[in-house]
Amino acid sequence: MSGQNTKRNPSGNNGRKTDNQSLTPLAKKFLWADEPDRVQFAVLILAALSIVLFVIDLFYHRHAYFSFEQTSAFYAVTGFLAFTLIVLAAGQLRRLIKRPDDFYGEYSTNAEEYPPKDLERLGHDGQMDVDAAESSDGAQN
Amino acid sequence: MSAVLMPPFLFLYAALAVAFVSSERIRSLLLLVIPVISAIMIFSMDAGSHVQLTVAGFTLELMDVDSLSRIFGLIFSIAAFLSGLYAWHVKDTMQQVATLAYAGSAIGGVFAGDLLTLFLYWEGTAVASVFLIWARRTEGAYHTGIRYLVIQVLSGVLLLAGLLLYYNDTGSIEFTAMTLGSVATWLIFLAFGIKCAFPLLHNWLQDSYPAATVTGTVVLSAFTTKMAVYALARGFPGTEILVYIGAVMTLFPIFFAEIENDLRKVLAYSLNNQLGFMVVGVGIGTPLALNGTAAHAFCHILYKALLFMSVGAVLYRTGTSRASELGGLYKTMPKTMIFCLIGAASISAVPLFSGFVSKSLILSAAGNEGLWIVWFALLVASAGVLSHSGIKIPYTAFFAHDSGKRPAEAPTHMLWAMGITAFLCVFVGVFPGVLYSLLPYDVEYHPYSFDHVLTQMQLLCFALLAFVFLMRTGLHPHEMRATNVDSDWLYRKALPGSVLSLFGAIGTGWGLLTATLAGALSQSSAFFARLSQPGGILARGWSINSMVFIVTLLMGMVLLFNFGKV
Repeated sequence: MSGQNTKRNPSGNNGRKTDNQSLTPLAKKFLWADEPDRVQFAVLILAALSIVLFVIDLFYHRHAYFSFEQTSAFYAVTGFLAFTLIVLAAGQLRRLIKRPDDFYGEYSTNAEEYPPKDLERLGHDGQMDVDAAESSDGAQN
Repeated sequence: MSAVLMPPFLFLYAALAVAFVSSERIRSLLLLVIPVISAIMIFSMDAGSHVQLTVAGFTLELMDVDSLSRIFGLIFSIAAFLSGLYAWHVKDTMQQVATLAYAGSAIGGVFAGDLLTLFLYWEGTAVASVFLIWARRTEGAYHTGIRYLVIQVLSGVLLLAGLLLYYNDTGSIEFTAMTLGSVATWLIFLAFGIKCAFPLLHNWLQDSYPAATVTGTVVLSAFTTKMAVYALARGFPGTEILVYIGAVMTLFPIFFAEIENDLRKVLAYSLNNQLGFMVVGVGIGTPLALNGTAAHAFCHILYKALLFMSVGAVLYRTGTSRASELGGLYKTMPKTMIFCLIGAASISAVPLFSGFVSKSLILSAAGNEGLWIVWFALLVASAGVLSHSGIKIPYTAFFAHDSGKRPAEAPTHMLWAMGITAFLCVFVGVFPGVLYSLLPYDVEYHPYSFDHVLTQMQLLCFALLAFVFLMRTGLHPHEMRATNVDSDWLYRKALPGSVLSLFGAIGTGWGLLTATLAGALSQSSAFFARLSQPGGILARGWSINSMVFIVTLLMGMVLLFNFGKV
């Protein structure tokens, strides 16, 4: 699995291959997050759990504060719809309020970089360069 | 209790000492030791104990301990300790002095028994905390700090005006429950509202917190706004308008958080949303609701600090907290990632985490009172919290697309600070009885009923499914660098812009006016010069007849005007 992962290491990290073997044991436990098949599996588990919760709701009589709350699957529908509508509405809001990064110019910290002297930028293998892609990053922005 | 050794004063002494101690170790140690002493003192204080000071005929209640102020004082001390540990590496004396003075003022504020004492500490927090923003020492941070200070001091000035009028009305400055109605109480209410980041008064928060230093933001997130929540709970419990203000507060920041790129700003919006839950609790005002406000403030300070710490650690290692530049950090910062996930689970109110046992008190209180619109708003807001704080923060920083950044794990002291905070979040979630025993009122409440766990899991699981759906369909907005304008646009662009153009218009008008007048003046003087120059009408020799005629005419006119007056 891990060999396959290295091969299709996606990442856009400008040719810097990550050696997953050099990661700590703790980090290795989460490598599945980069593998579509295993992410798909996690999603299926979530879906299965959701279905179980949904089915329980059809048969179990909940205590409720309000009559509308007692409708079957009220919480499931609310959770799904609220989340979806919030995200879609936010997307529309962005069209309205989005301005360039340096909209407020030097009066804001939004466009400035964090002063490096207060940071300890350190690569995980002990090198000071956190990202080899640093220079090309600068060119992009 | 001795007046000299009260917890707020301990912090202020330490702030003074830190300013003169040259040893870095001792300075950092003071930031840890003082909060511990303070926490122990506050924990062992009995409700009802107080310290008075008489100045110029006024009796100031410097310290008035009751069950409400006690829990706030306690969590403030814990927050001061955790942020002190997180900032162990900071050698900047200015930030250390500011942190101690700020924490001391906030603790002093919650124990203030009268409005004048409250005002002094209220301004203390404003003045001390701005240095945590200025400590970034950039042009942008300087201007942001000025804006922050102006608004914070404005809140203090309103409080002062309110308390003077209040004293005039009632003859007392005791800080106790008030009813909205007079100008005095409205002014005090507005002062609290600014610091509590009410809708449209909120923008100082999202403007300033992301501009502070890595460690400064963690400190800032704990005190100012929760001191305001405490002040509302003490001064205006059961004030109905707060229910609606709070409900709006839980909803609108969600949309801004959703599209914000800077993760520290996302957390600032999320903080605003969490304050909404507490404000609703104050507005309902029943013992259950006020317990909910106190409990939620307690839990919120912990998980919000934890989230700010984890994003701060990312910033510390990579130099950025912009979501668009992060991703895939779990590979080399797994511990930070796990702590971040615990904070995310706590704020999303996942069962067994702290948010679950505190937020439900407020929702139950709203349900008991039959406030179905507000209750439903809080439920929708809970799904929104999962979206921007529960998913967006950990997902964009540690997973999502691989940014190629391979930073080292956070420094040990930061991991300890995050670890202890994460432990407290889980501990409170698993053993809610410990937290409930600290609450202001005795109320039986069992968060772990089957119904409650079931409904919350349904809400969260289906919201997560919605996230998967939106990602798979590409409907989820992408992270991108941008400035998203908020109500601050009014006073940062529109108002200065219109004032400038007004000044411009006045300037142009004035120029036009003076030019016209000067032109008219020079023309008329030329005219008179022509009249009196050699050969001009006035320079001619006039006949006696015409002279007498003119004089008679003038005298006749004088007579006529004076006759009219008689």
